[in-house]
Amino acid sequence: VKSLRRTHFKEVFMNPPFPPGDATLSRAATAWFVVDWIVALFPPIHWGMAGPLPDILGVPATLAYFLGVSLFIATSILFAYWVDIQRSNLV
Amino acid sequence: MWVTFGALAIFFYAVIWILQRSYVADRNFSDYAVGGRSFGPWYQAMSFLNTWYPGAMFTAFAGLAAGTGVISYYVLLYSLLTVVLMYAMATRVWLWGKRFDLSTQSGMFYLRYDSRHIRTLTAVIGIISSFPWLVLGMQALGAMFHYLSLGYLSFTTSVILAVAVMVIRQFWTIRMGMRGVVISDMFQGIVAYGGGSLLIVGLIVWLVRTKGIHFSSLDAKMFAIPDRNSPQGALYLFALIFSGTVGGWCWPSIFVRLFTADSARSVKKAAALAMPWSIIFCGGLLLVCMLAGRLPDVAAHPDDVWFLLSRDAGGLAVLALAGVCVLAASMGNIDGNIQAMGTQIAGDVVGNNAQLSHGQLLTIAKSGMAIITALAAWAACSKLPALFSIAVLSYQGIIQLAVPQMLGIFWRRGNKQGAIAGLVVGFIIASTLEIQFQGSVPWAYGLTSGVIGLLANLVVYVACAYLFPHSQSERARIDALFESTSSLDDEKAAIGTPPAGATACSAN
Repeated sequence: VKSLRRTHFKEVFMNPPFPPGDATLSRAATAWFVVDWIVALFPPIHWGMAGPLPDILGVPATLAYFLGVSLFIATSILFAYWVDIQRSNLV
Repeated sequence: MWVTFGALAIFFYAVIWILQRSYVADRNFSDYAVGGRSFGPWYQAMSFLNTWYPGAMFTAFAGLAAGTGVISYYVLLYSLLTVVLMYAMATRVWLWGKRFDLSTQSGMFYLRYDSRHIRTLTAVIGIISSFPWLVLGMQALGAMFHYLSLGYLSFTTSVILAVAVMVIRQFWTIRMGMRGVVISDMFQGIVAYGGGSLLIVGLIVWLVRTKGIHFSSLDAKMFAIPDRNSPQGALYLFALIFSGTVGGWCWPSIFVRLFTADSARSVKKAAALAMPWSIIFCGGLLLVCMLAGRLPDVAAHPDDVWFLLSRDAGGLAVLALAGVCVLAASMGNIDGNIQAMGTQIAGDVVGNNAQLSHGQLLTIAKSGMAIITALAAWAACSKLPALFSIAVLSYQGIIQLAVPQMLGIFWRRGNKQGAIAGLVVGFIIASTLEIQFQGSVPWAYGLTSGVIGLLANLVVYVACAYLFPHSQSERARIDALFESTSSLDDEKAAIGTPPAGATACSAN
């Protein structure tokens, strides 16, 4: 089963369900970048996180916010790079 | 003392050995200024990290985490958002650099706005603003030497020793230019952020298992961030992250990294590689320092957290490794700044106003670096008053470059009138407010002087874009510039000749 999953993942990774000329993925990457800026910078989110909130998976809420947003931003770059490779946007 | 200084000496010797072995004679000024645009993604990633995360990460920012807690994570957020910006502008900036032989940030301003004045203006702002940080970097290294001498050396002697080490190191920066900077960044980056990350993991384990420190052990205020009623102002956190993000690419030593890559793809891959490194290193460092804030020694001297923690956890051997990480990070940042300043003096200040050969440009760049190194060494050893305040002031000033730089890259309508007027207005407002309030401005809900300057700068830039529309020839030139980077076969196009209408504005 593991081998099948690996093969399936590899196939999807190498052949995403969008043709090379399709800009859907590229638009998704751009949209993700915009969301990066919102979740990191939008002041009402900061104020919401400043209030008394329960721990998230044992991590204090404000720290979980910073770490969560950091992972979210990092993933957006990895996604954008993968999209660029798929679209052969880079030579 | 011999253990700690011995480790530093071995590391320093290794850097010099690598530089000696990798020496290649530069063919021209561009080769010297951007290393012949020959570096792949790993070199690019390490070079970016080594310039981005200076030795102050282990002192000032580590101290911030130990003393004030989770708010220090704003550094990680703006560092990651800066990489998002790097990704977004990579293709266009790299292609312009390749096609028009750009080697500095100011060269890009000249290309985009077709104005010699803005080239000189941005170069002068970059050089003046970078200088106080260079001096502070040398002084911070002196503080590290003082600590690692275990009290044998006075602070003044330690600063002189640090300055002497950096002056010796600059011989290779001057000799090899950008190639030397990037190659040494690779080794220094592996030591500072690879070795540093391993050390951080070990220290976290030690704090949790040996000292029994967990999140629940920390005071609740260590996890507080400003809310809408906080005394710093409701927008204070926003201002910190925003100014850090847009300001990052305003530093000439950071921006030039976009020109050293062998392709736009390498820049983008470097961005992807830098992300996990940033999270592990920066996130881990801030975390371990927050936890260490519980130790009595650290609570009393938060700025020394990195050294106190290392010595407590593993004695002199671990303290020596901690010192090597700081030296590696500091050297990358100082070298990068000196190299960028020397190149700007030659290409953007002197070369912008006189027709010079490649040989003359090289001589001026090397002389400029030597003079800057000497001046910084003198300033670091002198007790200059208000140096830190001047450095903060210069930061609020240099981030004003963000408006004409970012909008110039992504928006065709912007013009040189708006770029220059916006810069001047933003700089004056930011400086005035910084001198008056030093930090966040009370009546602006916690916005910093730099962010208010940026807003004014933006208004002026956009207003000028509509008040002074481009002439027909200027519009054609800018259209050609932008269209030359919109092809999917971007990099192949870059190797060819410039499109009609895109008049060459070579940096050299």
